[in-house]
Amino acid sequence: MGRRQRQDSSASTPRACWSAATAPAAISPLSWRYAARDGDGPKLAGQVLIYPATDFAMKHPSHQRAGDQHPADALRDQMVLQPLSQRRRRHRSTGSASPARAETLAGLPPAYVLTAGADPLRDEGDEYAARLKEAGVP
Amino acid sequence: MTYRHFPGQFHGFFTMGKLLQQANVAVSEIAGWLKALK
Repeated sequence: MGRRQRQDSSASTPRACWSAATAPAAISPLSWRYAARDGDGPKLAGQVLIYPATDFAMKHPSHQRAGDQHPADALRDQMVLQPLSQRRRRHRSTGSASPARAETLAGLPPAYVLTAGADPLRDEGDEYAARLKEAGVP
Repeated sequence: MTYRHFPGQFHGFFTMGKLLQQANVAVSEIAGWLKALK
């Protein structure tokens, strides 16, 4: 869904911050970490992850909350679960597409992680935030 | 690592600031976080 880069022209050096929601949210900072290490990618000042999709296996309980009568269910299924399922099929052969499968999250830029209570992506977002904290991400 | 949870909100609420005050709260907090980045 939405993604934006912020360029702060008033700073002495150009800075970019990654902000995104759902599927691309956590993927890009992770892939750019490798690009930056290899010298051909942007160095990020921060990352804002808004209800990020981090695990395309979709096994977390919040994906299948029995009896959930939230009015946003139909919209949720249409906008979130179906596209994610397609993405999951596309990336089935490459587990690396799921940020949650990364061996380490150390070295990633400072992070802000937002999750929502009535969101099927809640649990994987919470878990990813906990892993970022464990990895010492500021 | 800054973690923020919005208990009653659903996927997509963040872009619905005209209807949901919590979306404006989220945007304001993220703006503050961005400004504080070194």
